[in-house]
Amino acid sequence: MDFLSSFFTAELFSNGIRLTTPILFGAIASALSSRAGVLNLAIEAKMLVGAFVGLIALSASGSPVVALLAAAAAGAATGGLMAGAHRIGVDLIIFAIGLNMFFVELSVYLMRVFFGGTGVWKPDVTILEDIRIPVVADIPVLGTLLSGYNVLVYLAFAAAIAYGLLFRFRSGRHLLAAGESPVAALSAGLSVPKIQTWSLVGAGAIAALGGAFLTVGELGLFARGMTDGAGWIAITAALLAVNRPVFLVPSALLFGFSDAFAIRLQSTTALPNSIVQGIPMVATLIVLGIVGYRGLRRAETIGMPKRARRRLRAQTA
Amino acid sequence: MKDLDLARSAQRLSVPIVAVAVALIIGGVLIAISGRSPFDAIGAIGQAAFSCTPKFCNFGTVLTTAAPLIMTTLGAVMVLRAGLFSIGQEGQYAVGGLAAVAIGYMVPMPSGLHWIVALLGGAVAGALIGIVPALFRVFLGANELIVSIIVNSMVGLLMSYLVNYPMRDAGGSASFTPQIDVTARLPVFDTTTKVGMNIVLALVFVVLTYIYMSRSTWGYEQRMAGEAPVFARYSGMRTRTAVIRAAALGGALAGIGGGIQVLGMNYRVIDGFMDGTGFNGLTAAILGGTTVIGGAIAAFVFASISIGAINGLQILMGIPREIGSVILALMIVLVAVQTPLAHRLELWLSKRRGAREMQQRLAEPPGDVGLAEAESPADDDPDPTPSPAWLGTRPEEGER
Repeated sequence: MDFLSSFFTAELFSNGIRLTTPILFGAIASALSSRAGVLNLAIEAKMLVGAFVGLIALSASGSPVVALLAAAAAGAATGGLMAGAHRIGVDLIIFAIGLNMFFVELSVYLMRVFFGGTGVWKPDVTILEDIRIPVVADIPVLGTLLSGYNVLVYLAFAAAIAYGLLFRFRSGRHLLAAGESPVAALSAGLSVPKIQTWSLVGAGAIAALGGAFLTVGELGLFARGMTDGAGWIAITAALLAVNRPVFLVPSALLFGFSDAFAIRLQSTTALPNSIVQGIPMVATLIVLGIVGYRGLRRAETIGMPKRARRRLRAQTA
Repeated sequence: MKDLDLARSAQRLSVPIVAVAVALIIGGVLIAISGRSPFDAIGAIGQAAFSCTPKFCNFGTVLTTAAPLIMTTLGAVMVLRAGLFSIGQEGQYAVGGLAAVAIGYMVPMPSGLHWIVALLGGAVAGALIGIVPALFRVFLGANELIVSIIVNSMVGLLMSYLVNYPMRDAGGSASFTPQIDVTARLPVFDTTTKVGMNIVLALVFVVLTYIYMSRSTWGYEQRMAGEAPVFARYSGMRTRTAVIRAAALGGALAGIGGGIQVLGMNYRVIDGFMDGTGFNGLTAAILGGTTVIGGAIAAFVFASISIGAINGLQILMGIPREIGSVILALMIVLVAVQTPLAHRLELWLSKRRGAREMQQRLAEPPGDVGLAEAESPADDDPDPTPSPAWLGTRPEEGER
């Protein structure tokens, strides 16, 4: 018990929340695009754009609000670029792989050209302040858990709720229709390209905020490849949630907390920490397998009598 | 028909060439904003990549860099042509390297045999990782691309675990494995750049993969499983087996790539071994039009530009070496953008050609126009939807 109470500290919890934030932003962006029928693999690129532009804007203006707006705008522009490419029929998978590599390298190149330094750029800036929620902060345990994060953390969870609420509205329903069945949506008079464009632009802005959290919200510096695969993790988290709003926060928390556990394990014990981080990935693989299997069976046997269905299964097995 | 084929191959070639040209122009602008002349820079890249002095041969470094990259490119071509969009080359490359190193320092063996066994170990490890996305796709209907992304992340964790705990060098200060035995090292021609057996092996595998893909029944089955799955199923091919086999062979090739890197260059695996060689192999495969030869050439260009950017731009001119990768990434983006545009141009041209022919026919006195002749050029295209040609949806000229 002594070990457990020293291990599960409030610090572990708040670290988990902090590590969850960029993943949650990215996961919302990924889920939003998937729901609109676009596989968006450029989350990593958009996060980096947000991180880089956000820090430049912060160091130029000194205002975190301007920094966040600039980051979101840059991410939205990247999303718009993808949407434009999608319109003319570009293969978005290749395009996204290229974009990821492009922004990873371009950000480092521009950093080295303009700001000097080889690996890290640390301008003299003040990062986002932590918010102390007036009454909640005074509650003994809950206070340290719920209060004392910067605005982006709360924004991430608010965005997750907003994402869930979106589907209760007309525009959200249209988005779902465009993703589920573009032909049906088109014949119902919806403009599928327009819906997909807006989803990609919105996803770009959200993912960029996730990147800005790292630079403007936490560290105040930019380093080579600083998102460190967070974009890919975010995509994985969205998959674990099967793009459903209800599961999005828990799955992002699972990834964030496994990271926090791993860091904690490394500092307190000699136990290997990679294993903890692998758990959510294994979970995602299992979910993918189950979802895929159910879809496969449904597609194969749709509208068939029971006996024919069984025979088909025996054949294909 | 001959001139039509010629026109089409010219169009297909023009896609990468225009992409390269535009990427170089944008790269030149980016170099210009750093305050240096882009023309000097291009010269410096070329000079640094291909110059050779008795003391140090840069071209040798290019070949040493190209060898593992060619292998991951071949692995990518193998799976892409089977219609399997797996981007797991990065993970396969890493496990290949790990397996080769494990055999290289744990199992003592006579020289000459040792590196062969180690490479085989890398191939097996790569194949085992490579079939995971294929199994998910074939038996569970999951998206292989997404599965391969997760597998890559898991391999990254596995590698970090192995180099930090069971395989960590006891005397080392950082996270890396012990060095492999001298017997497991690949033979080299030149000790400074370590060029030797690595590039020879890569070229041998280029030839073998080409023969396999274009001349063997298995390779044909794999290509048909990717290009025309319905046709393949109706003509009695085992498409599932073919897809899984392609994934296993592709994984093996990428795994050998990892093996070549550690046995020929690093002699150990460090934390951070996954440096993008697998991803670059995938992109080289795409730039090369998912053909074996084209991919190998693209991989070589990749290696030249990277080494040229490091040695020429960074060391000689003080321009950050990232510009090399920026230009390469631009090429990928531009190829992706250009392909549908080129397709539209092609459609438009053939429409115009068709209209012209119709007018000629109308001018002639009405007779029985042979059906074979009346074939409209637009119907020549087996796939009228704007799907990218380099994904293997259409048979390539060279390997038909």
